[in-house]
Amino acid sequence: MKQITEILDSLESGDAAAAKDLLPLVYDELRRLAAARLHQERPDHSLQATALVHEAWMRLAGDQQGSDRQWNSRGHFFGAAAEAMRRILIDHARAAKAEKRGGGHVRIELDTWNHPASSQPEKLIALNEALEKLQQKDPVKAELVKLKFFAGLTIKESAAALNISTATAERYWAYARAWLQTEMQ
Amino acid sequence: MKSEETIFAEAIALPRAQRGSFIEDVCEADDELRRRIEKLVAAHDEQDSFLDADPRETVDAAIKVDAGQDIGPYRLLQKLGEGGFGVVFMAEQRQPVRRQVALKVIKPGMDSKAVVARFEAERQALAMMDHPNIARVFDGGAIAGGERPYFVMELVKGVPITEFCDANALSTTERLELFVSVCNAVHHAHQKGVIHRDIKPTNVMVTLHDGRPVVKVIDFGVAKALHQRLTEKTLFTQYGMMVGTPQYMSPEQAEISGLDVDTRSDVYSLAVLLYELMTGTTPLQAESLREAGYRELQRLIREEEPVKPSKRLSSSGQKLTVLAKHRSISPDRLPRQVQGDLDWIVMKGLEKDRRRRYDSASDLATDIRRALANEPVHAGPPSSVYRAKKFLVRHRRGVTSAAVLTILIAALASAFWFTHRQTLAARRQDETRLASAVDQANNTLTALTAASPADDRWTSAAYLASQVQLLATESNLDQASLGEADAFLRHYQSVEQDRQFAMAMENLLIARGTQRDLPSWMTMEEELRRILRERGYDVGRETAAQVGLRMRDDPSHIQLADALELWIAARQHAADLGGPELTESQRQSWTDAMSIADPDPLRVAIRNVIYSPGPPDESELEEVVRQSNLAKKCPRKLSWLAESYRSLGNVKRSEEVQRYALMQHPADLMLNFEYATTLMNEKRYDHAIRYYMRCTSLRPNVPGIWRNLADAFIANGETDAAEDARKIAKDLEQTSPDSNNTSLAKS
Repeated sequence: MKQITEILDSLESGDAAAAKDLLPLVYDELRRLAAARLHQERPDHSLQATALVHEAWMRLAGDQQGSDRQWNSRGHFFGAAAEAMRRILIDHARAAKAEKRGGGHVRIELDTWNHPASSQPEKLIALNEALEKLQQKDPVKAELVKLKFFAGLTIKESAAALNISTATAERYWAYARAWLQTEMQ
Repeated sequence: MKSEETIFAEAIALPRAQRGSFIEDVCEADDELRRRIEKLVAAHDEQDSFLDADPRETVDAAIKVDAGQDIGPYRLLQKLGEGGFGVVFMAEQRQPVRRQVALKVIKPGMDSKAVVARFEAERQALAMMDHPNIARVFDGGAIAGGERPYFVMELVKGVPITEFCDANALSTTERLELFVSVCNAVHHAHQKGVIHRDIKPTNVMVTLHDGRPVVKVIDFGVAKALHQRLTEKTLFTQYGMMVGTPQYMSPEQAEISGLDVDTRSDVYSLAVLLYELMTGTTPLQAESLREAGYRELQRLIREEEPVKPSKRLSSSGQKLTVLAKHRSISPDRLPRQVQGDLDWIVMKGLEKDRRRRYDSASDLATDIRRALANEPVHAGPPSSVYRAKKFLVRHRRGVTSAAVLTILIAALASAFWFTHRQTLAARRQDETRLASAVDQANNTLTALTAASPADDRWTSAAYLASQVQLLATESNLDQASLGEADAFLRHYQSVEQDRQFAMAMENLLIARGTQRDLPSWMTMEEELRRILRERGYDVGRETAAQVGLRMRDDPSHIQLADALELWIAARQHAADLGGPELTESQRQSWTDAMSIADPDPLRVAIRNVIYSPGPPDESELEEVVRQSNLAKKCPRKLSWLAESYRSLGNVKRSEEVQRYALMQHPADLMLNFEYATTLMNEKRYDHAIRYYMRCTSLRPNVPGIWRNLADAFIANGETDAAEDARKIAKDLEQTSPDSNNTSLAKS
């Protein structure tokens, strides 16, 4: 956790290269948190990707409530978290596909994250491919899709994380959604 | 030239009709760009895109519900099926009775508190349904710690009616006979005030009972509890799953508001089911609905005139062979079999305007029976040609066209003969009618034994009694029949008197729980004197011993002792607050009178605890409880018992008794009310709200309950709901201005 804060601080002070170190840490943090929750909680307790991401953030930002920098850090953090979620889900989807073809028994510990899209691995992989194309063409829109679709942020939260207006985010989303859809067909 | 993105943004901002020409204008000769934009716009309009999956919606999907797990008193045994709505398990209930049930866990994403509240509100009505073709609904709640509602119902091992009919190659006639029993079941529910809202083949199961097919309509109450306003979103995210399945949804259900639904919506869905049984397809076909966008879907349901069943059959091409095989008939005869009556009946049920449908499911059933008996049906053109045709078919044997005239003459002659015979038959007929009315009324009264005085079946009992009265006074009866009618009416009067009494007692008990000052205790004391006087016991004139002795021989002695108990309590309270004095010897003699009227040791023990001047003795009470069969005690006594434990300071035991009592008498107003009050005292507001709400559904017209509900809402921080409840209480108080006290009895 400490390290994440340090990286966020570096990012704040303009060290863009620090971003590449953020992702693996956030990724690990989410998995750690998920595993801890699974063991602690009653079996009927929900474990939800979005809640997890928010909880990880609260733990991180808890001691710097109200600081101005928090909002920028938040954008970075959620970006990394969305990317982590994307990877987890895609790994999951690929494993599920492999299992279907008889490629051995792969247990995914994070089954319980249960993103509604996780039941359709083919579509998820197709979306991922389309999203990579969009990333080349228009990185901000691709980022928006990740925040909204994988991390479960609202349009408003996504807009704040990307530092754009809500109206712009809405317009971007409409286009990206239609674009990805045609690309996936 | 504008960018693709800009053109797209401008296009989707326009109304749909203007988009085409706009895109053409902007793209001019660039066909490639035009195609791209058109594709994007089409993708934009697509409603259930994969990209719309919202990670926050399936929040609780991770809640594991699996065989072996316990949910309340139910142990999940095995998974029976899984659908869009959730999962169904076979489960074992262990308390209060051991039995196997079906337990349906609803998928996450619903406001389970609201679902449970809506279920609670309808629980009473559901409990009243008692029909061999309706699967009983036992219970509903939410899984502890989770946001997942569940429903517990009678375990039905069967297959959907459509599947059953096809698998067994039932003929059209056999299908109709089965369908009639579906209509009757639905009609029964309608008479109890329950609308199904989601009739479809998977909710109409067929099981074999002694080798005969028996229909079971399942899921009554579920659709209503799950009901939420139909929006673009719910319709699509829950397509084909939950709140109405588009193919079976009536036009009024497809309205955005979707709230104005009555029994005729079920009639519509029944007609769709009948259509499917006849033709193998629904009037609006699933494929075309799936392709339609939201608006288009609404338009189809509201406007698209369905093709007549016979026409659907004759235009079904190769499928007709299979359809006919499933109906044990040759392909060329099937459409003709359906043509005419059945076409009309189905089409009348499918009218977009519900006023033109059958008024009730039983009217639909009656028309089908007429069709089966080759009698004229109500649906369709009632022309004279049609009627004559019917007549001929009915008397096909031996009728040739030349014979028609003969038949007409015979008919005229028989009319005269009939008039003559009628007078002779009239008497016997009246006697039969009376006997059957008395029979029916007696059955209803028997069913109402121990029912809540506000049970709505009392209305039908009253109606039946008035029928008996009418037949007894206005028809031609012999002495024996008159005697029978008279005996029944006297019996009814005494039962009705008991009911009035019980109702008045309930009102007083509620008042006791909500009022604390001297004037209200005085009013209550007055009211108790009055209702006792009405039962022939004047506590102002007779001595305590006289009253006690006379009550002992009264069939309603337990209820009367309760009233006496309450009266003494009211006097005591009034005296404590500075009202008329109740001397020690007076109190003693009246409590003795109670012991005479109802010598149950439990009552005596309870009284010793509540009224004992010295320190009360719990062990004595405990001993009596151990020796009593609590299951046989009336709800009131169980209330007193809980109160005794409370006054002894044993809160835990008191609550145990309350919960046990509720399990025994779930529809008892006072038990629910008292338990809610206990929950309030323990600051368990959420639960208290549930039980107060149950009270309001048992007796919607008592302002005191609404006031308490409002307080519970306030305590729970739900100010809007509190405001609503308070408004209802106020309105009720205004309609009967003095309902705070005496006239409570009339509410």
